[in-house]
Amino acid sequence: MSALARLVRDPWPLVALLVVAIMLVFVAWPLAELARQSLIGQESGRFGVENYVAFFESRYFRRALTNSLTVAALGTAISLLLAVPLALAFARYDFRAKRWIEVAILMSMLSPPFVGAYAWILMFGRSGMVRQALASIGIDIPPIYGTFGIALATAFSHYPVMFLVVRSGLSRVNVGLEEAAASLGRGRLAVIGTVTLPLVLPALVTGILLVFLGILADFGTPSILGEGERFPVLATLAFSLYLSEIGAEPGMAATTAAILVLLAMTLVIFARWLAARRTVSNDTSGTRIATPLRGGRGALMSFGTATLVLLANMPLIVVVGSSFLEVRGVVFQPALTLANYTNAFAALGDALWNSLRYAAIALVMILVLGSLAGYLIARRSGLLSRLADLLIMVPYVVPGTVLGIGYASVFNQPPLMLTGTAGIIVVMYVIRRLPFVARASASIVYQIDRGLEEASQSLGVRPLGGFRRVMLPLMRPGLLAGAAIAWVEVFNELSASIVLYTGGTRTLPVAAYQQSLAGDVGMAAAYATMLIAITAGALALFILLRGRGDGDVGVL
Amino acid sequence: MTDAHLKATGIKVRFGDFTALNGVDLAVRRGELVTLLGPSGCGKTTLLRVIAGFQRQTEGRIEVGGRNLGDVPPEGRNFGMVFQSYAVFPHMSVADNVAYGLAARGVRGGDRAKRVQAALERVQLGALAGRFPDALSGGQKQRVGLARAMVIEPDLLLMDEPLSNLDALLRIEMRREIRLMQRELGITTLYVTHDQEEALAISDRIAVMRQGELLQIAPPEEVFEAPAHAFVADFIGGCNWFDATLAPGDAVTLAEGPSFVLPRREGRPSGPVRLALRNEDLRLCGAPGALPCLAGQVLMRAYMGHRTRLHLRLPSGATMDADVPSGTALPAEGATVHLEFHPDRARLFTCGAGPVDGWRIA
Repeated sequence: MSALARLVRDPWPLVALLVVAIMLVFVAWPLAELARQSLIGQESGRFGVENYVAFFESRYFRRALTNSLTVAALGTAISLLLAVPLALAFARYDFRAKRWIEVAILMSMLSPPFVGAYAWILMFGRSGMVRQALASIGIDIPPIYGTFGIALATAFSHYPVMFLVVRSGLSRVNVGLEEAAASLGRGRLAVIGTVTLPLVLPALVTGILLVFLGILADFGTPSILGEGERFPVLATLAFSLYLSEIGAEPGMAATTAAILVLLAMTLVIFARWLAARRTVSNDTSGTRIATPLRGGRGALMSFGTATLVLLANMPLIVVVGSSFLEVRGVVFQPALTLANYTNAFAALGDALWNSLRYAAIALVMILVLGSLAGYLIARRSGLLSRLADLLIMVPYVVPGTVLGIGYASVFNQPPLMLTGTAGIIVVMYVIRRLPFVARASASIVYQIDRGLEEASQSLGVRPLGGFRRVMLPLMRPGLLAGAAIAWVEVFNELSASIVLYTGGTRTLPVAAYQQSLAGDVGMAAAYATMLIAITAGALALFILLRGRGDGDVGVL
Repeated sequence: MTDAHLKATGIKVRFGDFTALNGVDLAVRRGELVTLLGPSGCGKTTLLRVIAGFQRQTEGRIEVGGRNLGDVPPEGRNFGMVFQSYAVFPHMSVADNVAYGLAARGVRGGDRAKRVQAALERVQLGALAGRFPDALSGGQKQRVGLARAMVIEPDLLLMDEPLSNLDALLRIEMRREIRLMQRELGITTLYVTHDQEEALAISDRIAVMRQGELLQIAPPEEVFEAPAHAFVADFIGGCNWFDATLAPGDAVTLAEGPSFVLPRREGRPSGPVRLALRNEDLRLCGAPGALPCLAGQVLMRAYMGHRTRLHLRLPSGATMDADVPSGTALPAEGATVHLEFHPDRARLFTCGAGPVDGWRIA
């Protein structure tokens, strides 16, 4: 058979080539350009580590690095405190309103983190409602800006990820192992300490890594709660350096971006090493059946978890609620109105339409590329597909701000003149979410018996036909769940859009961010509420599309 | 073999340093059922997958019905395949599963429906055509797999441990049905299993494999009665093994003591050999007589229905098993007994590297 005939029969190598090409152009190239820029001295123009030396010699830059690490560590710790007890309760027990409380937990993921940050300002900012109310009865608390505020706000928006990962880890712990420990005379806490925790350690490490990286990459929250340049973190620093360097030598923004990426990569490698060292094989036979809690204990569990989750959702509730309040100056009044929405729509321009359009186009591309790439990763072991697997995971450690700056510096000239177009936003959306959908789809494919495809082939159907008629239908539920999460993330994307948008391609999150930062508090709340509402509506639609599902969203 | 339907010659498969198949020759006649039998890792599944086209051989040639399959992809071979995991499409009804291969062959409308129904009835699933796989038992799923593979009238039926996921009783029932259907339709079949009893019951011929090599291919009786290799004797039926010496003049002396003389034959090598005795070839006797005889102490008696297995310790300290008829006066545990065997029942093998590792001498 000729090479051409082989490709017609089985075009997966072509797909691998396509994925590799896309990742090279839209990930490797911008990152390589940033790396190159970071290595050209800002002062001397010579090739070397001059910028890195300058970075570490500057107190301000060092402070950004320390702030980033402190905020991420503190935020991760708070997430752990919130998520682990919840995960334990959900994996072990059945109690009243469990489903609803779970939905409420996931609600915290439904909006861009900076909306939560903005809500904290509404409550505890300089003229925050709660702070003023407390002041009026003689209790003075400092405003929320700075390390603790950012950590708290990011923790509240990132803990659901930790919850999902740890809960699925817990539910995979073989019940028999715990029963064995208990039968050997260990008390309940000792069992958790000596058996359960070591077995969920990989899940914990994954959760910690995801939340830490998420906070590290977050741009909106530190930007709003850090009051711009007063409390710099790496992501906001890179952004403001980039803005100030437009037209000048782009060295320091690139250097900051590079340091951010290196930091994230180091963490991923460290986590992998840790996981590889501590991995214990956990034969997962024996599904856990949650113990129903009745009467007082059940009510207590429902009340406790609900309170915790309500607290975590407070920012969202405050934002949505205040969007319907009258504003005088920068202070909300206790009077209901729709004026904020009237104003918001008047100033909206194309932002909403842009967001819907770009996100929808990106979603289709993510689904197509993600399912193909996922299949490739799971089923093909050739050099190209391994390369695709490697490249596709790179955006995972690249914060949006960094990708945005990279795009802005590569695609502003021929051969690919994309800056200012809608295309660059769509491409950025696709690239940022592709790793997650590809991973999710790969994990679905891993779970599908290889024999199904072989059966199809032995019955006379070519590989691509088998993919369409056997694999795709089986991957559909998982892909839809992946698509739902991708929609949430893409529709709310801020940190790269803020670098890449122009007047005509402004998106809703950008509009909401701008109003939160320095605009009308009422309009900001209205925009944020629109973001939340549309995201939630889209999610509801996905759930309907999915039909009879088991409600498992564990595709992270 | 000149009338071979499937002919695989010199099949080698290497994965890096590991040799999965080391030059296997296999010929299967039209209408014959041949099992590939061996422990896990022996290469039986690899051989099946090479023939199916899912695994490309490093060297070697495969022909079916005189047609060279060199570059023919799996979907072009027209082989039916039945999987251990059933591999029934979970998103299609039973009927759609069976129709899948017919659709790919352009069989449409009433003809297709008729053939699907006939295939389902043959596996006794006629009433379940509209069901979905998650509403079927394991046995029913495998019947769907069987009907799906048969309905395309394959040139060769490949079965990869089709019964391994079923429980013991169902396994026996299904293997009988498979055999009857295979004979009735005359489908040339290659059947992979690690279960020696299944292989003995179902096959026209058994190909015993070990470490990527085919040690013996013969009818079940011959594989059992005249194993060509020590491994075959041990893997099928099990044996007690004794060190022995073969002297010039065909006298065999066991290290345990007894000796006997083999019928005269030219060209037998002399020297150390391994001697195999099946459990059922040992007979209780009151005292040493004309036949070679071993003495041993009964460590344990295990009742197995018609027979009772005696687990014995020999004077050298080695242990062996003997299966004797139940019901007769059996020695008590702890007693010392004599067991004789007929020299005809002893099988001699050359001494290889391992405990059961050498070719048959006599």
